[in-house]
Amino acid sequence: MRLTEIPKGFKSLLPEEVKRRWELLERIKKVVEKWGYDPLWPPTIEFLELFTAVDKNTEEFAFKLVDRFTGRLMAVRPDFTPQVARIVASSFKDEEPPFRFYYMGKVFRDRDGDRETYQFGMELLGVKEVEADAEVISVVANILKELGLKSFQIDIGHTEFLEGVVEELGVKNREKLLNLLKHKDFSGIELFSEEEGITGERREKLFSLLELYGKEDVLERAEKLFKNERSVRALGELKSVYSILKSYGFEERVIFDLSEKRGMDYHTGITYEVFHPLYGFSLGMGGRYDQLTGKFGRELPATGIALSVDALEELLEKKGLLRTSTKKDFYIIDLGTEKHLAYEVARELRKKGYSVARDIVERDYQDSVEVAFRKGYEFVLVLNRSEEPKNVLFTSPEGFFKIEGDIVNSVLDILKR
Amino acid sequence: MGYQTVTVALPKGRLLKEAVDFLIKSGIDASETLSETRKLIFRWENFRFILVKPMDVPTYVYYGTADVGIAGKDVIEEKGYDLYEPLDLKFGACRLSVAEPEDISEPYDLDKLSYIRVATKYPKVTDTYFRSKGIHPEIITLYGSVELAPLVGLSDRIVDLVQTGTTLKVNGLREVDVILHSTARLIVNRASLKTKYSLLKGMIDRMKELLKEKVVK
Repeated sequence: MRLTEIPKGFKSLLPEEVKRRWELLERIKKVVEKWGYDPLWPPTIEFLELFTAVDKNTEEFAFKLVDRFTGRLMAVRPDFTPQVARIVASSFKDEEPPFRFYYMGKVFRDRDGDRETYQFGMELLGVKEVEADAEVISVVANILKELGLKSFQIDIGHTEFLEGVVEELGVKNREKLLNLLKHKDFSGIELFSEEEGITGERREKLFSLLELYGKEDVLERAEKLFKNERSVRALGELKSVYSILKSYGFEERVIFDLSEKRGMDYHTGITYEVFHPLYGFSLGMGGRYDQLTGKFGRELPATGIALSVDALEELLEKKGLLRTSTKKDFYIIDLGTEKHLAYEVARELRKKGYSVARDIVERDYQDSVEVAFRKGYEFVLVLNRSEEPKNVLFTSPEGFFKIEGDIVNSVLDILKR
Repeated sequence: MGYQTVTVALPKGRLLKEAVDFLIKSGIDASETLSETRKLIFRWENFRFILVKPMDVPTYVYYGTADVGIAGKDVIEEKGYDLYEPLDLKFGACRLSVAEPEDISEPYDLDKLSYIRVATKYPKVTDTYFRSKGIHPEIITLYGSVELAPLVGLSDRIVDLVQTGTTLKVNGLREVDVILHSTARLIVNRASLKTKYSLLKGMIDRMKELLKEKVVK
């Protein structure tokens, strides 16, 4: 093994990429703060049970380690939402809901592909009405608009609708059916209905379920098909959410899919997923989780979403919408033996708000000038040259201005020209 | 790749002719892809067709480079990507089977095996199948002429696609187990179905009607 070898599924970001990410996070942050969301910073490691108690699948993909103090298994955060639920249930015990929180950071999952991803998420806890779901969806829509994305789609589903249907149809192998539905696997469902002996009207309903995706009319079609209590209640919620989103002017951006269950085990109601036509994967996934905080001792209905920052970045880059502010101002090369002058000038310029770096590598100063421009500095200040003029300001690798009198004032004068 | 363009990944080789015929019947003229050129990208109206290796069709669709694709169930299973698979197009029927030499000393018996050495182009499906039966597979992955492996002693058995069985017979092999039955499927990228819904839903519905008519005939 070579020392430079790196494990699968992890990556480093280089300066340009880091700046772009910070800029992106800053823009998202501004939107959620306008909606009254406060930041939370959960720990990187928690006991594994926190996650498995609410979604047993985490056991499979969480990075695990043993706590030397208790001997219990710990997990490197595979999901933020259970953490937020725990924190709200324990640290905000006596506070009145609603709670609005946002967070950003890395999520770790031990599997093929990326094992470390960056998320920006928000959670709205303490509101059982669908206004909460509509709010989160609206915040997401606002974020995407702020980022310059117009053609996104928000795909809305409902776990209770589907559970009601599975019950109504008297399906035995629920897991298998949900998995087939997840892939809209028509021929798989044909085989499945044979296996389970689902015939006649039940069979027709099962196939109609596969078609329950698309625009608003999906809700009407679903109403005619399924009359069980759970599904009916779910459809009522979806209708109210739709009318709220409509009043916000987002109806064009909404699409329904009632036939697939996505998301985590703890999702208990409306779920939503974000897509864009130029990106093959989902940009974010969220939904209701009314039973989750109860596990930690405080019953609070809640809803929230995590956006994939990696996905957003890739999409924005594709569209040329990633802004970067990579400009650096001054690079100072002091050729004197004592470096006092460079030190003083740098301090003064920084005081005035400029970014300043000093050359501390021994080499021909002409080379240093070129390196500095290549690294993105706008101006290069060379002090104590052996020839006259002793002090000069390069504005490009080829041309410089003579500096006279007080260095900082003279530099600022040149900048004004 | 605009918002109104539909990119279709088509498999070169065995399935191509039937795939193109099917598209033409459902109103999408992909006939140019059958012309014997080295071109890999073709256009017709708002459709773009890309010709790729059959095993790569699910990959192009999964990553969203193609919105839809036509691929055999065998290939879809082998790749195992999270895709929509809304239509069984019924053509290209074949099976992924286990085969062994006719004169093998200990014939295939799932109940007696604890270990099996097989050569295949489908390592994942093969591995999952045997492990689900409690049998340790040793898999030798090959990229072609799999039926050669038992003849030259590379492996006792193979897992390969069987259409008529002629290739097996010619090589002195017999089919002893079927892992899966395969036909061509329409596969769709998840994000594409949601974001190009009206374009794709219309297309899928027309295809579905066409398939129903066929059954009635």
